[in-house]
Amino acid sequence: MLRKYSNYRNFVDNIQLGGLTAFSAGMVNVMSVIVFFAFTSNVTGHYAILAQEIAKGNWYEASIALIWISLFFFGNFTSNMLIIHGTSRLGQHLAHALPVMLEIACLIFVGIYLQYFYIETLQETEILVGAMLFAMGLQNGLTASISNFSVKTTHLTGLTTDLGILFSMFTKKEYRENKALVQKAQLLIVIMCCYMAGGIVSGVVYYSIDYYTFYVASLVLCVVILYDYYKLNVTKMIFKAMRLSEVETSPVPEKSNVPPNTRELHTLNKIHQTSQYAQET
Amino acid sequence: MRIIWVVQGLLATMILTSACLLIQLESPEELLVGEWEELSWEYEKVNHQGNSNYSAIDEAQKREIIQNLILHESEIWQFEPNKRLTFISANGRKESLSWHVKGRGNILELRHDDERIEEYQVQQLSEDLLVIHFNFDLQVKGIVKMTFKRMNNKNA
Repeated sequence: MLRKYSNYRNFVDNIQLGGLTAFSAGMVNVMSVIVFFAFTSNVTGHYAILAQEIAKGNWYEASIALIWISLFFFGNFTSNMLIIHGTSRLGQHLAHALPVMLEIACLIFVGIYLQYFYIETLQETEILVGAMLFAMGLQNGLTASISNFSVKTTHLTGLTTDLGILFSMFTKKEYRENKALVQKAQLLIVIMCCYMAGGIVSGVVYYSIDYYTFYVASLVLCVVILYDYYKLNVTKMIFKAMRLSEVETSPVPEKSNVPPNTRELHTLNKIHQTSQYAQET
Repeated sequence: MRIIWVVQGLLATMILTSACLLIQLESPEELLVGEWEELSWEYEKVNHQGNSNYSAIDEAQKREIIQNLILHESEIWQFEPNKRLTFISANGRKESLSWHVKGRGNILELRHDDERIEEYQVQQLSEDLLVIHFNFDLQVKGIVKMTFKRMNNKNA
């Protein structure tokens, strides 16, 4: 889900990443509306509010709207910065996982704060909504960045527009038979359904487990990180096992004319071929 | 390249200005504290004319609609800094409950001690004037607009 970048990602990678992150974004958005009466996964409404409050001369409310928009912006900024600067130092998987880790930290902070310290002041509301907007910015920046802008999971405005356009294109046979367009539509539908499902689950679950719902959203994000970690480990184990069996089964000539490094090269080639196969599958 | 720096500088200035404004200005929560006297109640839809075809609502709908409907006419609303709100009518103190401001300062939530919750949208809030809207449930068309004026000068 996370370890591949840009054009190296396939359809399944994007579906998995889009589905899970959209689910958590839906959860976070509904939670913030229930608890704080403010949207946190999309900023279109905040732009409208900013304009409206400036027009009314309500400078306090306008400032809040501007800072919230800025926090979403900084979330996107931080996410992409971690990816482009971190990949060479930390490796691709860790650099891609860092924004998700930060997002989890933000959500857990909000959950813990609500559970133990919240006394329902306006200032607390503003800060906690800001933290959630930053978290959503991180997530949106990550998914958009690593998927070459094809996966955006925190808001459905652009997605609904794209779906409308795609569905109108499907009224022509030649587009219906275009695999790339069909996959694009499938991806968008999955994101839309997962976002809705996350919102519904969050709304239902909140009334029974209260602020723990934030931890559930964090758990969903943990799956995003750990899935790749698990896959990498499994792939490593497969390589190791194949390497061992290769060493055990290959006959070693007592006196050979083969240069000393040829056998090692042969084993390395085998491993390389296996790794390519594992990546493709 | 220079344009990028200009835009970034503009953005940073706007954010810093916003932060300064937030520190300097009174928040809606602070503005609310004090005594507010009800000036008027206005309904969005009243005095229907013509041959409107009204359909009767059943008991369940009626119960749902009136569930959180509380009338606060001819009252003084006294918002205290400790988040307690007292309704004072001509007959004296009526009820005390807790109040909270949510969202970006646009939602006023009143929580009665028996767990009933009323939610109002703050439409206008200044030193002297408070306008709040009480949204009915979707089944009932109409918004109640309540206007208040501050009784005493806040800084007095």
